[in-house]
Amino acid sequence: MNAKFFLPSILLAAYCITPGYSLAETPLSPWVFQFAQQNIVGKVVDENNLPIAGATIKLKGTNQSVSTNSSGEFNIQSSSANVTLVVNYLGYLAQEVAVKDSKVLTIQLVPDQSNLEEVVVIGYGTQKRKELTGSISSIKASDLEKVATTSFTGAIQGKVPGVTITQTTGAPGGSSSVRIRGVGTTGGNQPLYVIDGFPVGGGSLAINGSSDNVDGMAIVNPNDIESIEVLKDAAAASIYGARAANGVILITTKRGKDGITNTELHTYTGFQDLWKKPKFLNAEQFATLANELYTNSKMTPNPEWANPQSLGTGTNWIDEVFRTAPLYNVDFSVNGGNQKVKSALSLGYRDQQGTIIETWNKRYTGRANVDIKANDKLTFGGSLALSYINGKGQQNEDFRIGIFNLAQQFYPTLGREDVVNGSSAYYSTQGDNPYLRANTNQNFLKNLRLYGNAFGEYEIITGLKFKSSIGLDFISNRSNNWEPKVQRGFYNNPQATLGETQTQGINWLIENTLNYSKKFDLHNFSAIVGQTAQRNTNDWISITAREFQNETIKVVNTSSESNRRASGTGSVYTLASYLARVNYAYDDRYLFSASIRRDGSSNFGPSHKWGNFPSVSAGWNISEEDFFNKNGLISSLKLRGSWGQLGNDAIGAFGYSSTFGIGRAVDNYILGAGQSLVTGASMMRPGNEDLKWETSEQLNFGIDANFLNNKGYLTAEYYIKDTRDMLVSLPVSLEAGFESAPSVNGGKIRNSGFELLLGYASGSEFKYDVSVNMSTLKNEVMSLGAGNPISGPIVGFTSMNSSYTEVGHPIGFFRGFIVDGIYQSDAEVNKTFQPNATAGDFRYKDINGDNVLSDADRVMLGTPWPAVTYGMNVDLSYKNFDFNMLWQGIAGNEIFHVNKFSTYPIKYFGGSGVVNASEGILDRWTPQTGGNTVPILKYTDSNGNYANLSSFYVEDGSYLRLRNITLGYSLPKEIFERSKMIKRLRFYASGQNLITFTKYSGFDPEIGATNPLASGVDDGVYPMPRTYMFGVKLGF
Amino acid sequence: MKFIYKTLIAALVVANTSCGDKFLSLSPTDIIVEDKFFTSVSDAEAALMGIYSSMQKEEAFTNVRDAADIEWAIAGDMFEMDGSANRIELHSLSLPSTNTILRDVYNAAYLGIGRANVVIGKVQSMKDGDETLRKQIVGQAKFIRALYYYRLVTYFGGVPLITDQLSASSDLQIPRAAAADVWALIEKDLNEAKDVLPVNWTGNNIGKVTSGACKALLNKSYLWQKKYTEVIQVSESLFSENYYDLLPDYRSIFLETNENNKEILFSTQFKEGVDAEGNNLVKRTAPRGAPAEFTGGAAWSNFVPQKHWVDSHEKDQTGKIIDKRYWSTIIGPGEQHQDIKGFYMPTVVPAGWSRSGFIMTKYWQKPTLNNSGVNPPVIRFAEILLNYAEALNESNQTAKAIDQVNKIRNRAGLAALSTSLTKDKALDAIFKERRMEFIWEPTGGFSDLNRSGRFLKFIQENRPNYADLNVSQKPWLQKTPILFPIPRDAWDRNKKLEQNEGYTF
Repeated sequence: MNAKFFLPSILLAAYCITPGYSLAETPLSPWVFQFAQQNIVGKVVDENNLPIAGATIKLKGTNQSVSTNSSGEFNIQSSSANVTLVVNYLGYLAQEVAVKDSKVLTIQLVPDQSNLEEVVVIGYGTQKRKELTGSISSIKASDLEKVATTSFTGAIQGKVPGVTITQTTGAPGGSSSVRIRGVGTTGGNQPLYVIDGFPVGGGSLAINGSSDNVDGMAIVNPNDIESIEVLKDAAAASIYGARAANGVILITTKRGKDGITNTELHTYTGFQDLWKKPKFLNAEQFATLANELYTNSKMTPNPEWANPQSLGTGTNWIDEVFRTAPLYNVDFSVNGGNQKVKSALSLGYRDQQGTIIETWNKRYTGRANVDIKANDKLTFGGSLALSYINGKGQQNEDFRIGIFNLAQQFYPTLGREDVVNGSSAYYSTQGDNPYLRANTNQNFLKNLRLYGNAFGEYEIITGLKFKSSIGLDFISNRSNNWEPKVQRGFYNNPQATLGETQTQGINWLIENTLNYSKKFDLHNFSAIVGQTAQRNTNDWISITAREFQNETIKVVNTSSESNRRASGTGSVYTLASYLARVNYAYDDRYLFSASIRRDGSSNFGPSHKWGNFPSVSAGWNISEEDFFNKNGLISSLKLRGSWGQLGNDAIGAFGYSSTFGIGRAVDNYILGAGQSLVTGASMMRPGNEDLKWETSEQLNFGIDANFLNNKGYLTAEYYIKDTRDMLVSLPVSLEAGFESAPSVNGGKIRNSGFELLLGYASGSEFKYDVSVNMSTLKNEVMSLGAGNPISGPIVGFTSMNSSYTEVGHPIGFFRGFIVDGIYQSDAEVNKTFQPNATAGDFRYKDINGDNVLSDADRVMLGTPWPAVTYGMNVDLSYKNFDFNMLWQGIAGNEIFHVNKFSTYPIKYFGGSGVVNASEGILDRWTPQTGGNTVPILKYTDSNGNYANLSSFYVEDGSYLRLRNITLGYSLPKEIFERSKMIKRLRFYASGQNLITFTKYSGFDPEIGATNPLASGVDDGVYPMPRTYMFGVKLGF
Repeated sequence: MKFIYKTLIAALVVANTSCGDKFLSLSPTDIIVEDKFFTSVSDAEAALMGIYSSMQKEEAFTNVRDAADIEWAIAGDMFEMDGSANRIELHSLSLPSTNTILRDVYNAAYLGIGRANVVIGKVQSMKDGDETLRKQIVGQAKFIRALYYYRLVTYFGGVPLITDQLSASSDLQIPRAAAADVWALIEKDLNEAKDVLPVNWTGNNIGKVTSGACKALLNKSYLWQKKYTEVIQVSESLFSENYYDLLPDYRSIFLETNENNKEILFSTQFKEGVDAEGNNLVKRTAPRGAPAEFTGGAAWSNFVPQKHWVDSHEKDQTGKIIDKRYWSTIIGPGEQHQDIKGFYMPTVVPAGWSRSGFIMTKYWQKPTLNNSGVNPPVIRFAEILLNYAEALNESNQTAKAIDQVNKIRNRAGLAALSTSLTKDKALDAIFKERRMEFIWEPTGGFSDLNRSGRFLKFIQENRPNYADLNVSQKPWLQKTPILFPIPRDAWDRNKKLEQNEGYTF
C-alpha cells in the first residue's frame, strides 16, 4: 500500500463502521414494581448556585439512579418517602442527602479540594487523578482565570514543578522557551504540543529584519483553554513516542456543555514598561572618558568634546527608544448546547504595543468547537481555529545596528534628531541614530494559521469504541523588512532595500483508535490500540529587491528589476505510528499501565526508520487498603513508579544521505567576458547511513498524598532521565572540509531532579489555597561521541563562543579565563604569561601553573541552567473578593553578559571610533584610582580584556520575581437574580513582574533561548516588561 | 513483562510496516542526494563551479585575509586602522593559536580542498560526456587543490594531506603529513593539470584555470623549495606559450574594466552586486567618512599604506616620487584620485580616512554601492618574472636576472639597474621590487621575506615600531621559515595534530 491509498483507506475504514449498524432496542426495565411510587424532585447547584447538569442521583442501597437535566433538576422514583440520596458529580465531593416526605430539595455541591476524583487528560484519553501512575501536572481553566496572561505559557510559568518557562524576548507577542525536566539534547528541546488530541508545531515565528521571535502558539487563546496537562515522565508521554523526549503539553479547549448557555465577554486594558533601566554615561561623562581613552592611547582627543562640562547630561537614548506601551484585549465566547449538539465559539483580539518604540503585535483568534451526538452509538465532533498575527519588530540583538544596542552606544552629546557629523576619526561608521532608525526601518509579520480537526466515534459494543480523526494545520507566513535609502551622517544605506518572505506550511494528520474499557467486580480494565499518519510540508520563497523608483510604494514591483534576487525551497516530513496501551486497576488499590508506540520517521534512512517506545508504570493507593486509617493525619496516599523510553527525531531531513546544495550563493561563480553567473553545486553535508532515533529513558518515582482531611496536598517526585544516542552534529576535524558536520548519534546526557508541590487549601467564607513548588535539576553530559567538546555558536562580532559542552559538565556551560584582578603597574606584569599586558589590564589566573596563558587556563565559569526553580502561589477569596499572588524564582544559574562587549570598552568593537558605554565603566582602572574590576580605557585592546571570554562577563543569574498579582471583585449574585441577562460580573486589577530581586547588572535576568548551546547569553535581549492591567469579565 | 512487550511489537510490526515504509521514504525537494548527483558531465561542471566558488570566501582568495591581514600587515608596510584584536595579534607578531584570521584561512583552505576532492574522485570514475572535458574538470580541480595546499604548507608547514572524499564514517583524526609530501602532491597535481588545460580560455570560459596558471604556481612552488633549475624550466615553458606578458601600464592590470588581462595568470572572479559574487575589497579600501558620492556604500579604510613604505619609493632631486606605481595606485595629501577625478585627498587627511595620510586605489576604482566586482589578482606575470630572476640569480646568472628586474623597473619609470651588480645586491634589488610592486597583493610581503629568511632583518630595518615587537621574546620568530601556529579550533577537533615549535594550543 502506498501513501496515495493510505489516506483513503483509513477514511474508508472509519466510514465502514459508521451508521447502519444499530443494536435492537431492548426494554431497559424488565421488572415492573408493584409498590406505590414516590416522586422525589430536586435541583443540584454548584458553589455559585449555578445549576449542575449531568450529576448522578442514586438511591442509597439500590441500583437506581438518574441524572440531572440542563436546569440541574432531577426526578427520581422511590418506594419510600424517606430515603438517602447519593449525589455525585465530577470534581465535587459526593454528598449524601436524607430525604423526608419527598420534599423538594436544592442540593448544593462542594468542590472536591482533594482533586482525587478530578479527571485528567492523558494521551489518547482521560483518567481520574486517583488512577494515574505517570507524572502529569494539570492546570485548569479556573487556575488560568486567576492569572491574567497574554499567552498560554504565561499560565503555566512558575506553577508546574519541573517545567521551566522563559520568555525568549520581551517583545510584544514574544515567544517562550519551555523546558520540561531540563535540556536533554543539544538539538531541539521543545516539548510536543497537542491541542485537543492533535500534535501541532509550536515553533516561533521570525520577523524579517527583527531579532525577536513571535510566539507560534498564538492559535491558542488563553481564554479558550479548559485545561493544560504537562506530561513529564515516560509513562505519561511515551504514547507520543517519537517526539515526546522533551515532554508533552496537552491543551484542551473549552467545549459546549449540555444545557447551559454561557456567554462571556472578557476585556482588559493596561500598559507595560521597563522595570529597570541600567544607566549609561551622560554627555559630560562620555566626553570625559572618551578623552581619557584617546589620551591613554597617545591619540588626539576629539576637539568637539574638549570641554565636557559644557555638554551637560545630553540625551538619554534609553529613554528615547523605550516607552510605556499600552495593551488591550477583548475576548468573547459563547458555549452551550443540548443533548444532540454542543458547541463553543470564541473570538479574541489583542493589541499589544512594545516597550521599544515601533514594535507591536496584534493577535486575532477565533475558535469553534462542535460535538454532535448522532445517536446513542455515534458521535461526531470537530474544531476549527484561526489565528492571525500582525506584528512589527525591530532589530535588537545585534551589537552593530540593533536599535537597543545603538541606544546603548549612541552619543549622548547628540539630540533626538541629530546624526553623526564631524571628523570620522572619532565616530563609528555604524553609529546610526537609534530613534531615527527605528522610525524609518520597518519589519512586519503577517501570519495566518488555520487549524481544524474532525472526528467520528462509534461505540461498537458497550465499552468498545472506534474513533477516527483527521486534522489539518495550515500556516501562511508573510514577513517583510524595509530600509529606505538614507544617509544619516556617516550611516549610509545607498539603496532602499525590501525583503519579502512567504512561507507556507500544510500539515495533515490522521488517527484511528480502538478503545475498550470494562469494569467487572473489582477489576477495572481499559485498553487502546491505534494508528496514526502525519505529513508536513513547508515551502518558502524569498525576494530581496533594491533601488526603488518611488519609496512611498514599498512593493517589489517598484524596485529596479535588475536588483531583485529570489530564492526559495521546500521540505517535507512524514511520520507513521502504531500505538497501544493497557490500564488495569484492582479495587482502586493496585494500578498498572503499559504502553508502546512504534514510530517511523522520514528523517531516517531505510534501515533505521522505525523505533519502539515502551513504558510501564504502577501505582499503589495505600489509603485504599483496609489497614489504612483515612481519618488520621494522612487522608490519602499513593506511591507510583514508572519506566519508559521516549524518542526524538528532531533533526534536519535526509541526514542519512550526503546532500548537495545547488545554486546557493556559496556554490555559484562568475565566468566569462560577460561576467555571467554560473550555477554551482557542492556537498553540504556527508550522509550518515547509521543515523537513528535519539532515545531518552526515564525512571520516575512519585508520592501523592493528602493530609489533614484532604486540606493539605503534596506531590513529590524524583526522576532520572538519560538521553542516549543524542542527535547532534558533533564538531569534526576542520581538515575533513565538510561545510556542515554530519548528523550523528553521539553522546549521552543525564538529567535528574526532585520535584515538590506542597499546598494547603481550606475555608468557606474566607477561602485560601497556598502552595509552594520547587524543583531541582542536575544536568550532566555523560559522554560525547568521539569525545571532542562542542563549542556553541560564536556570538556575533566577537570571537567568543556562547558555550562549551564537554563530558562531566552540564550541557552548554560558560568557559573562559578567571580574572584575578588588574595589573596595578607595568612592573607587576608577568610578560611571559601575558606578553601584551600593561598596567590597567586584566590579570588572568594561571590555572595549571605552567606560566603560559593557554587553553588549559580556561575553566567552567558558570552554567545557564538553574539548579533550583521554585514558585509560590497564594489564592485567597473573601466573600466576593479574590486575590492571587504568584512568585517565581530560579537560583544557581549564571548569565553570560556579553552585552558588556559593546557597552564597556567605549572603543567601538567593530572598527574605528568610540561609542557610549554603561555607567559601570566609571569604575575603570586609572593610575590614580587603581581598581580591580574594570580595565583601563584603551583604543587598542592588545591584552584582549574584552576579546577574551572571562569571568568578567559571567554573572549570577538568580532572580525572584512577583510574576503575578491580581485582585478581583465579583458583584454579589443577588444583584443579578432578577435579571435574566447578566449572570456574573467580575472586575480585576492585575500586575506582572512588579517586583524582581536579582543581582544581575543587565536589563533583565530572564534570558530565554531556543538553542541550548546559546542559552543564558545576554547579547542585548529585548527586556521583559512590567505589566499593569485592569479587566472586566461579564457573563450573561 | 517482556513477553507482553514482544507480543505488542510483533503485532505492530505485522500490522502495517510495509505500508508505512513507502509513506516514509521521501525524496528531498530542495537539495540533491549524492546518488542522484554526478550522473552527468553537467553535474560535474556545476560541482567544479562549487570549488571555484569556495575561493570567493574572504578567508580564501580575495586579497583581504591573506594579502592585507597576513602578508602586508605582518611585513608592516600596511597599517591596520581598527585596532581589532585579531589583526593586532598578527600585526604585533604575537600569533596565538586562537587567532581567528589564521583559523579562518586554515578552515577555508580545507573547505576548498574538500570540494575539490569530491570532484576529482567522482569525475575520474565518470563515464558520461567527452573525455577531454572530464580531464579538464579534474585538471582545474587539481590546480585549486594545489593552490590551497600551497597556502597551507607555506603558512603552517606539513599539514594533514587529504586527497579523497571523506564520509561520516571516515577516521577524521588525521595526523600532519611531512611538508615534503604536501609539496609532492602540489607538484603532481599541477604537472597533471598543466598537460590537460588549454593555454587560454575564450568566451564564457574566461576566468578558468589555464596551463599557464599551473606553470605559474609550479614556479612559486619550486622557488619555495629552492628548486631553482625547475623554476627556470617551468618559467621558460610558460614564456614559450607566448600568451602571458607584462602590461605596459601598471594601473590597467587591476582595473575592473580590464579583467583577465594578459598579466593575470590567475585571479578569483567577482561581479559587482549585493551577494557573495561580489567582494569587500572596495569597502575595506575606501576612506571611512569620505563623501558617499565617491565611495558609494560602505567605506571602512581598514588598511592604509604606511608612511615608511611610501617613503621608500625612489624620488627625484626635488623629493618627488618617480615610481609610476605610486602614482598609479596611491593617493596622499592633496593628491587626486586616478579615476574618480572629483576626489582629492584633503591636504590635512582626517585621521578617520587614513592615519598614515595615504589611501590605496588599486581596488577602489569607482564609487561602489555594494560588494565590488574587482578581481583580486592571485598570481600575475610580474611575480613570475621576479621569481624567474631570483632563480637565475641563485643559479649564478645574475646579469640575466637583472634583465628581468629591469623589465619591471622600466614599466615603473625607474632607471635600469646595472647588470654588473653582485649576486647579493641583485637579490636585494629583486626583493625591493617585490615590495614596491605587490603591496596589498598576496605576494611580495611576509611570505617571500619568510621563505628567503629575510623577514627579521627586514622588519628590523623597516618597521618603525620594531622595538615594541619584542622579537627576541617570541621563540616562534626564531625559525626559518617562520610557521604559523596550527589553529586551536583544529586541534579541538583533531587531537592527532601536533603544534609547531614555540606555540601552545
